[in-house]
Amino acid sequence: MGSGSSSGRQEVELYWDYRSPPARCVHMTLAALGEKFTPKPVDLFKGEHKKPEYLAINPAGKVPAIKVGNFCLNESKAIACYLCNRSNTAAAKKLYPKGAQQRAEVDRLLLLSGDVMDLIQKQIAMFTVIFGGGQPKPENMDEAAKSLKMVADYLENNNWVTGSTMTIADIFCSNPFFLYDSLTTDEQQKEFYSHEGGSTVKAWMKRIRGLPYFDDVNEKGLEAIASVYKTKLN
Amino acid sequence: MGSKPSVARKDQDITSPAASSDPVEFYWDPVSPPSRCVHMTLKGLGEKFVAKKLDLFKGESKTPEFLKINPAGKVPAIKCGDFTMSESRAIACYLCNKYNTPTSNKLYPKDPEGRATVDRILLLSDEINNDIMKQVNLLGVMFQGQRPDEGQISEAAKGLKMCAEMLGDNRFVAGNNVTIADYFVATPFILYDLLTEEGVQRRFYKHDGGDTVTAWMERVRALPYYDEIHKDANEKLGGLYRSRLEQF
Repeated sequence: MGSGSSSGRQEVELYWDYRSPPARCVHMTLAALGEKFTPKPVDLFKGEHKKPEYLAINPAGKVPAIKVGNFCLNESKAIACYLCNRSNTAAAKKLYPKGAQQRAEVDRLLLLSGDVMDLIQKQIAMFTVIFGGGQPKPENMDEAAKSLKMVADYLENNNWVTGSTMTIADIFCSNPFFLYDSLTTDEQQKEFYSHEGGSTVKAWMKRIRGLPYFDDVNEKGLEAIASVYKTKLN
Repeated sequence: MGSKPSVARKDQDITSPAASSDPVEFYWDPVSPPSRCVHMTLKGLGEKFVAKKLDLFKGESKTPEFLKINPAGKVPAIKCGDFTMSESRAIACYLCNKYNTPTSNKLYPKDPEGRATVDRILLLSDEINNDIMKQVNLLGVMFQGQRPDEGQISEAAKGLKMCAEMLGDNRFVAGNNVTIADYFVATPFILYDLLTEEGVQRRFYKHDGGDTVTAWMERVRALPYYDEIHKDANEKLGGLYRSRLEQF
């Protein structure tokens, strides 16, 4: 299709740190698309994201970023949409539907996923704990748990947030909850998921965890970030 | 944010232009900045729409009728037949996808790289808005008796730098044509210019990127529908903001 840079044949280079939540969302998208890519690890803890070679790819100095031919792109949600847009496969059309209304539902949920993450962070405070010497705020659990109802209202009795088909909206909206589970105790999780919407969200997370590529993409990253987080707490 | 809207009905055939016969109903208040972004999109598209102005201060976004359209009770929102949408950026993208005309395809390119550039800027427009609001503090002034914070001018100026980096040598933020990305990035600067004193503005635009952004804003202000959308809205919002400052 098309010419030059729009060709679907050029391989994607993924610049990422396996611990970074948004980077894992892009990795999940690539896996869901069944798309081969060249991994280009960027170790955030070694400051590799601030080196000139990486800033040439993403001047914002953050992960993830992708490079396809001469085209560089950052911002995980924009990347996920781009990867689906440039592919004409059946998988891509399901992950990011082309119909205007169906696409709008996904677009709105992608924006919502940012709000979900913000609410979760009110309790787990990942950045301040890992980089700022701060502490989590368990007193904010009720506030964080508003995210459960928010997502459950979209799920209703469906398997996925937009209905009967999995889309990239599921990847982005579930990401904060998996992060929550890796950074909190079993007791905290029990209390968290007892809030309104909790059981609906848990059932949906089980579906996502059951995807064949889920562990490959997320297991090590979630463990690693949990390990750093817990070290900082002690 | 985040309340589920009505269930999307089966999609219209989007390969034929203007497939839907239902005109879009656009719910807005001129003082709402994201409403202006959607308004610009509608005007930019040149398609017919029905404007339903709501007065937020009279509680018109909390009536049972409007809550059926957007349970979150916020503007902007649109209704097209049975389909309703909130979230300004998602609305803007939807409108371009829906019409699928040469005009809509310029405002929101269809080629993957062009589209990705706009998508990325739409996401970053939030950051720019947040930077600017650290100084202007629109919501704080309007609803919480707070004041703007001139001490944050260099924080606000980060938005200037980010915008200038997006522009580079281009006429508009995503390239040489206007896209919906311009509408969203321009809005915080429209507000900045409206709600700060001239002296403060001069200092602001002396920061890195100031000249580039100023030149681009002139192009944005020259768009044919600009005055129609912003003139009265600016008067209303400017008046309210200043009266709040005098009150407290």
